[in-house]
Amino acid sequence: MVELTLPKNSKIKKGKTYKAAKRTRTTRTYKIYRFDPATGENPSWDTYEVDSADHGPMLLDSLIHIKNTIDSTLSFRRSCREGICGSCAMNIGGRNTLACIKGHDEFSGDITIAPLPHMPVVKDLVPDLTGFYNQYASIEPYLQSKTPDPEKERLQTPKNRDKLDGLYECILCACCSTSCPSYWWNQDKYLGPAALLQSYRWLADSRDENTKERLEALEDPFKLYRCHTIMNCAQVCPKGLNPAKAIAEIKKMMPAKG
Amino acid sequence: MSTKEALAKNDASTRSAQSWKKSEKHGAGEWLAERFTSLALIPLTLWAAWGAWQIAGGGFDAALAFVRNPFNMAAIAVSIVLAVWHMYMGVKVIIDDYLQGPMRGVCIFLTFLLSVAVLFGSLGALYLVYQGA
Repeated sequence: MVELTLPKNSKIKKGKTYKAAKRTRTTRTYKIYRFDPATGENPSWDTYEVDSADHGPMLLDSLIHIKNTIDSTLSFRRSCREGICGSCAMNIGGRNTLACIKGHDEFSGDITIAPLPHMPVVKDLVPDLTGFYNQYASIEPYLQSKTPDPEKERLQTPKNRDKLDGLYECILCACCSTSCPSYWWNQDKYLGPAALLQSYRWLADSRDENTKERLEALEDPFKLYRCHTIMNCAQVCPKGLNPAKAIAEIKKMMPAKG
Repeated sequence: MSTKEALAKNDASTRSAQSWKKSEKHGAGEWLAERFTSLALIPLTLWAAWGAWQIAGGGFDAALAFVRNPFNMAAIAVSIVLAVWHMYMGVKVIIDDYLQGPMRGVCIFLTFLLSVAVLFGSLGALYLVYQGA
């Protein structure tokens, strides 16, 4: 349900400030969301002043630098550091993106870093994505066929293969779903842009033979039709994909499914 | 409340993948109806604006004469049915988006009552004009 203010125990307070020994032209200020379940205290904005000459160009470099040299209690997920694993998805400067492929020089002034919006927070910048992964699992993201398995690979014409472009690149970072107001208000009923784009990836696959069953499982006023083409998903996708278009294609397939 | 308890209380993260596989098996019809009423209301609204311009300044008699024309009366009746249907679907979408629990059902029921009242009120008025003809 729509929540326009944060619950009492989620109100963000002003936190600690870690000042740089000496401010230079390259010093940047980061305001980072901190929450530690062990203390039972409300979350806070901690301020870190960091000389960007001391670390690499990306925001993930800034975060790793802060954790290594200033405050080792800072928690965040990261793995591949090249925009393919989706672990470091977070809200930077008010917009969901991957910290590893966003440069700190792309922002002016203080840079705010918060976890993905409207998700339960495990600690600091680490959100609980259990629901998100269950939604993905429910669309059965694997090839399903009724015909017996062929001797060799299932072939596809280049034209049919082209239909998967813009779909298969999704890395499930959850930037899109957690930027969607419909998903904020109804994430217990609405599948969200990521799961629906993945679902269309299998609906559009010429080798998949369960199209009708997949569509029947999606036909639901809440699972699919909460998308109102707000387009935040397409705007934030760090891979440049368009989940809203994939959802529109599903809606167009639906009445013709028979 | 500990984080563990808070996470366990979160509806979205406790729903299993299996429970997500169920669907209500409708929605495409409503989607088509939204588009059908929207498209049909474009010419009807333009026609209504033209009609309003025609009778402007003519007083009650001019309005009555306009409505008594059989073509106009039919077009008004169709406009009323489609507009009320469209309004009901639109308001229901907003309620579904923003409300949960018993409030959702109550508000949708009230919207339905309001739509039925508007529909029968306006069609009834049209019938009275028809009777008077």
